[in-house]
Amino acid sequence: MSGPRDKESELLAVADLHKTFRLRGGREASAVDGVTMSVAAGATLGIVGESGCGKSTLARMIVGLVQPDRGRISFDGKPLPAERSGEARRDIQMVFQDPYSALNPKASVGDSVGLALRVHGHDRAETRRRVRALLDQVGLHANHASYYPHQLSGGQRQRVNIARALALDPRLVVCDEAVSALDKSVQAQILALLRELRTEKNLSFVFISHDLNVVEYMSDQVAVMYLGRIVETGTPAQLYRRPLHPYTKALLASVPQLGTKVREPPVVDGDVPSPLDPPSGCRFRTRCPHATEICAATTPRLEEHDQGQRVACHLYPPQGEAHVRRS
Amino acid sequence: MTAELTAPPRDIALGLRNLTTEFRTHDGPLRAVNQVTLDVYRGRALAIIGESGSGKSALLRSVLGLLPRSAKITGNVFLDGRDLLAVRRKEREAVRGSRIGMIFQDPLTALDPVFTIGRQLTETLRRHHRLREPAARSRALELLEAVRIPAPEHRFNAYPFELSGGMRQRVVIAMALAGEPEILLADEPTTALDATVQARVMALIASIQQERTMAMVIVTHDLAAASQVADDIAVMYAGRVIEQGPVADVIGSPAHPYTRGLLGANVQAGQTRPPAIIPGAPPNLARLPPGCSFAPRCAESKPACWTNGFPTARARSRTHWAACLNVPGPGGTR
Repeated sequence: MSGPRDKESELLAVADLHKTFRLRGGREASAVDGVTMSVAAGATLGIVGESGCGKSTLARMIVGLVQPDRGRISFDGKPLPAERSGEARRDIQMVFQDPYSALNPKASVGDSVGLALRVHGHDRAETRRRVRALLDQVGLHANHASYYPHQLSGGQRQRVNIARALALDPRLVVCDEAVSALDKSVQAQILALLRELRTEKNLSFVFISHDLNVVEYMSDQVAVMYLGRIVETGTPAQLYRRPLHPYTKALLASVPQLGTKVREPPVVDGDVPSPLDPPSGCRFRTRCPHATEICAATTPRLEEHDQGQRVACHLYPPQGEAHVRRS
Repeated sequence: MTAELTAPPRDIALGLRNLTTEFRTHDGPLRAVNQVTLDVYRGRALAIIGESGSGKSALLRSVLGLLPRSAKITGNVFLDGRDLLAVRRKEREAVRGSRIGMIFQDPLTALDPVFTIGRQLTETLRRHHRLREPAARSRALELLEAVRIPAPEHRFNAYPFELSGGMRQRVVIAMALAGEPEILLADEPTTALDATVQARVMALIASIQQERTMAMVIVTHDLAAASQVADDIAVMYAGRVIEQGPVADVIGSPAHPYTRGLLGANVQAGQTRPPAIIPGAPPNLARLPPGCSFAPRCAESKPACWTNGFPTARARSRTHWAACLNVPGPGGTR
């Protein structure tokens, strides 16, 4: 992703990001373990993975809600300090999964959407005018401003959250499972809205979801995460048509497709291990049908395999070395 | 409503007739389930598809008698010619544990956190199957093996929190199978699980249903998952079943505009065109529109759809029907 392409177009770059949560009893959960990735201006990076893969922690570090232990986050070529400037906070906004709990139940839609504008120095009249325009932009009526969250449907609430995220004219919006809680018919409305906003405002997105089909549809680049690490990245065409990492393959095989009767269990056995006690070396090795001794001993690096498709797996030695496949 | 479309009654494991469930709310009575008539056949799996608020879970809970007393349930639930809604509570509870097995969405709340899974399984066996100690234990181990739990003797003494989500759901399935039920009811059984685990648990449920030729009702919002395990699909909207038929028919040539909308809204693998949009939102169940409840969102609605009451079922074939005026009915009028 941050390959040979020119660095000029990179809006967000994350380098070697780490986050470990300390729990009671001195236990440590490794949530994000050395993630490097970037998002080009106007592009959408999709992140897929199962629970505990660190995708939400990564999202929260990008918007500044969680402080990384180690690593760098740069925006527009400049590193973001731990204490972010008002401008940096305006530029990166987030849409959360649960449209209801993300809104203050005692605040009207107008107040929720307008709060950030007031904080960032707009006066009352200007805020009211901007809120009306924002509601219109996300497909709501101006008079929805006086509604309270409980008076809205799930889809309308998520539109409010999107309006709030757009209030400060951000350049990057991080969507953490933003359509997962919605019904399919409503989900399609929100996906259409996000695509529309992207074209109109040249917005960049980090689009996190466990739904592989939706991520494929929305993204220019996709990163697959497993237990805190990116195991494979590439364009949707690369990843979905020719997945390399055994985990990507397993994930794709697990997606039920309409009208197909797949009754035999897919290849991967067992559940995702606990991030409290991740396996040594490659974290997928305990479930991998191809695992050998080297997988326990050495952590595979995310290396370019083919035309920007990168994979962290010992089955694919870096370019230049002999292409020997272990099995 | 569909009685004339169904196969001979001897194949029917569970028959619902005009099942209606109402809750009292501030807005007045809310019909969560609205005159549902359905047959569940022996050895076949029926998927009930619907979005939130469609009544699919309330339907399952009405059948099981698991709703609060304030819910008003009318109609019939026939099991072997006996109406479960007419029998006494005690009797219904006995049926629930032995002839009908249940799998819930969240395995962690379905299991008691303070007892080992072995204890919970043997308890079920003692209560519903009147098995004594050594027999109950060996039967429990058999069940754990049947749901492909590795090293069952070892897991027997584990507490639910010591198991992963997938393993817990397997234990819940084992408990559902304890009474050798003829009917398995599953409410979003894999929704709480991770994708890779989901696929395996779904495959397990499908193979168990087939091995034991049980009747199964699986409630889900996921059309693709339903098409994987089910033989038949019933689509619910605003408390009613609006289309029913074999999976291939409902997915291959959906008759109801809502089913078509739902299929189009589903983003499929490799899709580049935008998913179809169903405008608006489902109606308030306490204030249903007078005609078809989908008419306000339907691109194909005509004046009759708004006024003539809820459309009756119209047959496409002997096994496939939809409740829509635009489906050429038996009379052939449009």
